[in-house]
Amino acid sequence: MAASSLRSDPRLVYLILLLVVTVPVLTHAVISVPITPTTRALYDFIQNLPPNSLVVESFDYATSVVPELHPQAIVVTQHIFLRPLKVLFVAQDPNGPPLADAVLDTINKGNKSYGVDYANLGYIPNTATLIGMPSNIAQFLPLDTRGNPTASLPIIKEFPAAKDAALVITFDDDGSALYSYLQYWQGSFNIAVAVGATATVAPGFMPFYSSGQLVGILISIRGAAEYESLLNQQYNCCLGISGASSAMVALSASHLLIVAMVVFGNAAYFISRRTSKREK
Amino acid sequence: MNPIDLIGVWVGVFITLMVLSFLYKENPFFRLTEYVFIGLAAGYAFAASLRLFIDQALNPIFVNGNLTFIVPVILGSLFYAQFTKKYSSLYRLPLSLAIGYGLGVTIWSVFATFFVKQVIATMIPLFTGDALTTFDNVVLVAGTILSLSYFILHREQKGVWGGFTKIGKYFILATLGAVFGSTVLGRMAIIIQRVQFLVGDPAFPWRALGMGTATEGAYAPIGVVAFLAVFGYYLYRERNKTPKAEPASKATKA
Amino acid sequence: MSSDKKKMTRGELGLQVIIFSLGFFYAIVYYVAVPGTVNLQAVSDQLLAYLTAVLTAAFAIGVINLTRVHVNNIKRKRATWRYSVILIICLFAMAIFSMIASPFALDPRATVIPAGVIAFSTPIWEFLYYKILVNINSTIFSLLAFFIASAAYRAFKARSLESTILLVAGLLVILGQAPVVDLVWPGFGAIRDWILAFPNTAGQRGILIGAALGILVFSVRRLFRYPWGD
Repeated sequence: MAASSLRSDPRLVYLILLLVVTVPVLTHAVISVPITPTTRALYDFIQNLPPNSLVVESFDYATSVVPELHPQAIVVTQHIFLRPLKVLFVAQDPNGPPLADAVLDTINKGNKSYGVDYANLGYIPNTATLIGMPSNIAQFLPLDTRGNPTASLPIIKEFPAAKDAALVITFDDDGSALYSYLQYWQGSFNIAVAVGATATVAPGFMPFYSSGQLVGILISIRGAAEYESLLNQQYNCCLGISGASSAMVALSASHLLIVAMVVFGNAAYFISRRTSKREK
Repeated sequence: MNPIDLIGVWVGVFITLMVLSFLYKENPFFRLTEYVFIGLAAGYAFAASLRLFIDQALNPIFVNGNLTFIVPVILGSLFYAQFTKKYSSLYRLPLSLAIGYGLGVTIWSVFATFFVKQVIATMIPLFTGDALTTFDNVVLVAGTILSLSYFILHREQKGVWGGFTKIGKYFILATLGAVFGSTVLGRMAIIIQRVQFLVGDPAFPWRALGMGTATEGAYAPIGVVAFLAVFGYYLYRERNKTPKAEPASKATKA
Repeated sequence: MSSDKKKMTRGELGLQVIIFSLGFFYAIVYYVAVPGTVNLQAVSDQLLAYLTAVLTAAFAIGVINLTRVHVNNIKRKRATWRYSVILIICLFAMAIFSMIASPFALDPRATVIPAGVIAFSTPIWEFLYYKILVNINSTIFSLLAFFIASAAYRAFKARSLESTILLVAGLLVILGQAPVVDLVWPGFGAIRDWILAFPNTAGQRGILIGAALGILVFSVRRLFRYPWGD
């Protein structure tokens, strides 16, 4: 009877899912998260970068996947600001620049100042600009998001070409930005590349991690929660800055619900198959 | 507490629930959000594109005095010829430039990134001292070769060759299963954050997503109750809608 | 191979020459350096800058198309014409406020647009973007979570060996990525990591290499032949 109810009206399933997710959120339970190897690899890479290295963060996701990638951007940016590193923010998605500004508003910037230690250079409009940036940033991105001439920024005077970057990390929702960085920046200039990926596309990036083309992968909101754990272990801070850790109990509950649905559905299927065979 | 942010939270709650109301049934609230979304997204994309055009094409002419950029601007304006009847085929000219450039760059970049490096990464020692590593390497190498063999379609997949391609198919299915499993994580992450927003959870990144602070966010459930009242009233009206009366001519014919 | 190839017109031949010239140049500039004569990289960079100017000129195509379709809806009073009115209003309002107050503002330093106008427009833009656009976008994607849950019960059946493999791989990954389950028995996490690192990587790599070969072949064919020929 339960099986036929679920089959006839999917809204019952929707309601069960909503309840399964809402109850853990209301209880505010937090659990520790085991660290996956790809997250650990990225964390160690950033932790071991020489002082005064340049990191390029590329915001390449639409607002639809903000819940998955924005927490990643927050924790990685916070890590970079906790270390003596410089960072440039760019974006291959038009929604990227305001999201980068939102990350900057959230994190603790310490005593780092805009233009000297970090800058938001805005949207990369097309492949032509992307290919040109490793040679000359200011020629291809003449203004930052605040209207300042890029060439006048101290960080650009120190790093006039993107090929001087020690790492480019792209928060990518469909792989197009990652592939362009792998093809044009790593292919020609051997710049290290990492990715913060949505869960849907992360399995597709594993061959690049296996081949050494990627130094690390963050997978969805769980990757952000793992990174928060690592920051907390090292710097005794940052647990909860992105909201990822507090979603882990609800995440577990929803996953167990899916497994239960699959098992229940298959059990009902096999039982009905056996019943119809007996009737024959 | 910022009253604008508070109103923004309630508007956000209403918008969220208007979209989620589609799960109950198709309704005008959901359809409204569809059209609003397309309008806002297109308007924002237009502003972004215009700014880029000014930075990349007009500034070199009017700010840097480089008049050679006039030719590319004229060529680019041919894209708009598609809206005319007589000169519509002229848009193919700038399109050809983009295609030619794209093909040329693809040839060297795809070759290096997707082909050479991936093939090199597959050339790993099969038999190492450690049994587990040997097993892993055999799975990786054999799996790559066998999955690739599944896409060789000019030869019929039967006999011994068919056996190889079948194993390749199983590797691809395992891949698709992993992608499905991973997709569940992604989708659940999104709905969890939406629920965090609706219940006013302090763990929701209010500032990062431009929704004020947790102080205003704590009042989000009021918006939820208000929407449920409005939607409930809509459903009540729909259920009690009287059917339209038949036209008089049909009634007399009957 | 077909015996009656379609003949190119003069215009099509001209376009094909453009495609071939530009494509061939960019294909070889990565591999070729001619010392002491022309700096090919500098030529390539300058051409890139010109090409960017060409491509960005198409900024208004989407808005023009959208406006035409929906103004047509309104003129002909189609069933959804009222929604089209709302769309047009949202489109132009967002465009105007984005041009004044977004990160893509045309005059962020207030040299032409009065600073007061920018100050007035900024909270409106932020409201439209963060309170409305971001919320709609995220929530539309979250609908998929519900459909996955429903499909998990109704559609994912182990009817054959193939579907069983897919289902088992999927379930093991799902169990491994649920932190609570991973804490109860770390083996699930290890299994998930192994599946992603080895069978998944093998399958993905096979697909990648196959796709790369296909793209290469298509690109070379397209450089030398017109698409509607043989």
